[in-house]
Amino acid sequence: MNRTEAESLLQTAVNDPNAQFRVGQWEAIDALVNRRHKLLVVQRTGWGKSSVYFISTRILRDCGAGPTVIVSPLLALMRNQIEAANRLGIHAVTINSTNQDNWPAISQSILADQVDAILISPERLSNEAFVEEVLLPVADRIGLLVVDEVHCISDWGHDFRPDYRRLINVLRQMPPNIPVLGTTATANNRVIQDVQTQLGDIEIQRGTLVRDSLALQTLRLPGKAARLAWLAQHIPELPGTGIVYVLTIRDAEQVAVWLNQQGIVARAYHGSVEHDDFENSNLYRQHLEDHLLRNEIKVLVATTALGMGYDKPDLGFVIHYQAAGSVVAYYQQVGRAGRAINNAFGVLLSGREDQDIHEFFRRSAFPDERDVNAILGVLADHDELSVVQLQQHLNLRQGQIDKVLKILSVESPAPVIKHGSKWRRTSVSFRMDHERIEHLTQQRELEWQEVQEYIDSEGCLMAYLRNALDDPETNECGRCSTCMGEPVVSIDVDRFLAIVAGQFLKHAEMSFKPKKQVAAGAFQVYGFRGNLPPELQASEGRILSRWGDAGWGGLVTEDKHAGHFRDELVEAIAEMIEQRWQPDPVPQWATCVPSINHPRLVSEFAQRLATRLGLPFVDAIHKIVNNEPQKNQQNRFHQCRNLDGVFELSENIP
Amino acid sequence: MSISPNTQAILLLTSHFSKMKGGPRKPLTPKEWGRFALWLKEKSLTPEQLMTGRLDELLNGWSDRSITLERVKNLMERGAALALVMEKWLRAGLWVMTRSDPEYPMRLKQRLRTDSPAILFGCGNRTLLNGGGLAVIGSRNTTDKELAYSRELGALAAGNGYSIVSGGARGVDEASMLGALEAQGTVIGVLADSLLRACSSVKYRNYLMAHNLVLISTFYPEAGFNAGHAMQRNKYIYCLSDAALVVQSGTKGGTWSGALENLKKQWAPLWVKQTNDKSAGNSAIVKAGAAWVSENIKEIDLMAFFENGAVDSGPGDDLFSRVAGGIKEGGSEYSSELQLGSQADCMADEEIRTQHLVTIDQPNQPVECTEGGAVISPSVEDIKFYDLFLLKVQAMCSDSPMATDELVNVLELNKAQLNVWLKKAVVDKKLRKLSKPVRYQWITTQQGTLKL
Repeated sequence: MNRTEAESLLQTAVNDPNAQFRVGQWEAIDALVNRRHKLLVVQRTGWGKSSVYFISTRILRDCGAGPTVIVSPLLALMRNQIEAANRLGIHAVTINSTNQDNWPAISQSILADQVDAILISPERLSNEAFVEEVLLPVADRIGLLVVDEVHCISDWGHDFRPDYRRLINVLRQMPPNIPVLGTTATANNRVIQDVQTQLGDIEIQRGTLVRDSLALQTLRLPGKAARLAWLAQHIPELPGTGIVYVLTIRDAEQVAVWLNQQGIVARAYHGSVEHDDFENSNLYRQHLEDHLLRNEIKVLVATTALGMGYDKPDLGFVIHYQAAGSVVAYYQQVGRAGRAINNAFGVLLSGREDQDIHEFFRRSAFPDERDVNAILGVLADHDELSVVQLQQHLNLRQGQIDKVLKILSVESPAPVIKHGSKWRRTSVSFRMDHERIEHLTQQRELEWQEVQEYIDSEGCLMAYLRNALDDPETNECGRCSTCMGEPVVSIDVDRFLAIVAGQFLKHAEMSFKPKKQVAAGAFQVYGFRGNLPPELQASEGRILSRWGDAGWGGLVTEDKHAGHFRDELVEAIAEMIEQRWQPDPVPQWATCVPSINHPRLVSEFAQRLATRLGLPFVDAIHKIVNNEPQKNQQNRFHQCRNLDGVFELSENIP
Repeated sequence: MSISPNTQAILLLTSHFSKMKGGPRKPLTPKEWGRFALWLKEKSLTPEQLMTGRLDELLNGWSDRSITLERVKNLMERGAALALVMEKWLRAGLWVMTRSDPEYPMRLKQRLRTDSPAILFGCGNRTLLNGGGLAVIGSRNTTDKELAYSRELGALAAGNGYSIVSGGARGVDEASMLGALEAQGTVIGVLADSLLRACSSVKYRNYLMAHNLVLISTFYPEAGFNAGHAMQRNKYIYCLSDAALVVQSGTKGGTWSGALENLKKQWAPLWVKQTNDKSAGNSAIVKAGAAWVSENIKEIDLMAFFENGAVDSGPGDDLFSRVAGGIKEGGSEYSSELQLGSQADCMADEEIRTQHLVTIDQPNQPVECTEGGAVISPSVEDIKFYDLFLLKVQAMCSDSPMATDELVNVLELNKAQLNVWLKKAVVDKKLRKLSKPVRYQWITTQQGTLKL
């Protein structure tokens, strides 16, 4: 296959008889198709990586090769990519957790050689059942492997993912007769070097990251209320639609609610976002991505879960509600704006809480060594255990257990492997690599310092980013707030809006959804099993404040230590119940769950609240066993067992 | 761990990667692979070259009814499947060995020639594979009495510094292996199925981690039980050992046919436990050429098994490395794999071996004859490691006996290797093994004379 023939395929793909390859495209196709090389392509998004792999797929398929497998964190191919693939006569299928029912049919069509390209997410590769039942049977004949966002395989990458660690070990075992294409738009030299070291003989092709249309700006606004006000005030002034990036799921929900209240159509997007109309989170997220793609909402308020590679050419703005953890991460996120339009904005707001959140992220990036040893210790005494069984042996949160197992299981060789739903200890000895952890943590601290420098930078902001990314060209952009010498988006905050935002934060109560099921074997005394009978199930409730939150958290902490909750809190709860929650049917009497350690604190507060609401207080529940504090119970089994036989009911309940 | 391109190519041609059977991608059988490998060698091709994508060109002139060009092509296309399963197996702590691997058990190559397996999957201490030991064979379904016997037999072997070689199946196999492991002995388990699971099982895990156990299988590591595989693997058990003991056999089935095959091929000298069970095949095996061994463990002279066995080459013998090395000069590492593996080369191989025995034994003479320990060696490369070991041990253990652990520390040797040499030195009457605690004493000529 020569350049002219390939170029005619490109013309077909983009439906333009005069189309020519961009710099590097033909070279990449040539390396993959004619020389079966392993190739790492670092090019800005929009350069046309998908053209490279679809044209390569077409050529390889015409030579009788098996289908291409594309591993991508993006949930669905973008519409324009699908069109390009269709014009080349490429039949592409997606295999993911949302179309499980179709797996057998898809497998059949792959085995019947009717499929040219298979898209899977990196998470699928860590799912043993998927690999076993779906991937392996069709993997007997794969012509080309494409790994999108390949920088994730590097520990040095800002968003290293355990699933990619598995992927790199698969790539390492890939024999030389299978061509491999890795692509990324975001990798500095250190990351590229690391990928090269890990993959061995991989060829690098690197382009420039220039982004002409993006106007950058930074702004420190310590309080959340001020930032919420700024968003509500200035987002309507910004062109087209955009993304607001936040650091936590709670912030995503909160900011989205606020923007909608202020008349801006916004949706929250995060890893566990759900909607009643959608079967699962994946489907709903896909729906949200499409929603934004079609400009049906003004803003998607997203955590970093908004897929890498999300490619919306006309995205008008990317605003960070809280600062990103590294300049590389920031560039990748802000770089989504303005790909195919002349004017776009990237504004980084930085708040007081950013520092603490990132410190928490850094601290919790690696599991606690005691948890690791405890889990390995329990597994060592058994052939295999499920996570539920592990919870019975260990007072650890399911999340902690999952995290430890996930991190251990991507080591190679690994001290644990999953077999069906059970975990097994292998004969591989394990020791935490403290040096590496320390090193990576320090690295992340340095990266965070770099973000601070960016925020306060007095030079060209774009040049700062490109320089940090080792872009070969770093001219001044002439568009950012420092180049212009004035804000590109106004930095005014309307005082009235800020007050409204402050109230909004104090009214940001959460609903409380009581459990309907109990852990197996945990209620020996009470004899509860499986689902609680309907008459014993509690209804949905409300939480005014969580420990240490931005609204009432400060007062609650102070008062708990003083041994008395002030009237302001009584009033806040009463207001929440009467004004906003308005439960139906209306409450008839009030009670509380007492504590033996603090006999007065809660019951006295509950009595005052009952008085304020005009309800009788009934001393309905008695504690008869001085059990361990419930807050020390880390998983459902231990939470249930700690309550078994602990309470008694009074005789005279209304 | 990463595996070499040659190993990748051999795996692509010979291994299953999933439980799915049949289809156009049926891996080559050991015999087919032998045939194909021989042709490759004649054409001066390495398996690795088959992955360059020019198969039509490379295989021009190859013609075989069952191994068609199409089939080779189809098998070689399985690269992604190979990568997926290898990632899983290596992650679980398994390793892969081909015949060109220096740690590949020489006993298999010597005894099985072309039939020696192209690929070994394994887990644990691979250096044990060349250490030989006592093969223990018996039924899955057996009595408590025989299980107890097997267990004690394992402990007895452990106490005498011999590895147990067995099949890992429930019953006699497992009892003898665990008996040895519990007595801090070393064990080679040759599995017919479920290698992956066995390696993470609670009964074997700690011993694997302590380097006292190696588990291997020639079959797909996730394969389930298969009677044919179980039969086939019996020969590897015999071939990895220096002496074999049948605890109990029927008059048909795997134990029975395996024992007769061993007698016929004369792989390992065979003993059979006495039994009152009239339905057992034990006495028929003895009639076919095996010897009785007492059903009372205390009466067993284990050492005698190995002395009478007249095994052609002990593990300390560098015969294999010399043979392999000799051929290596002529070609790649891969060519040595073919030299030892292919039928046509057997004769040449035999010749080389004989020549080596003659020529190499001569430099040994001074060592054999020396009492004081002064050795005049023609050149360094002719000194065997074992002889060097004897010199060192002589210096250390002449005045007072030393325990194994002390020797490990002083000699800075791998314990498994040390045990192998200690064992050989005892057999060679260089060292005397003292018990309670176990120590080794150098036998000087003077002491020998006094004894006489």
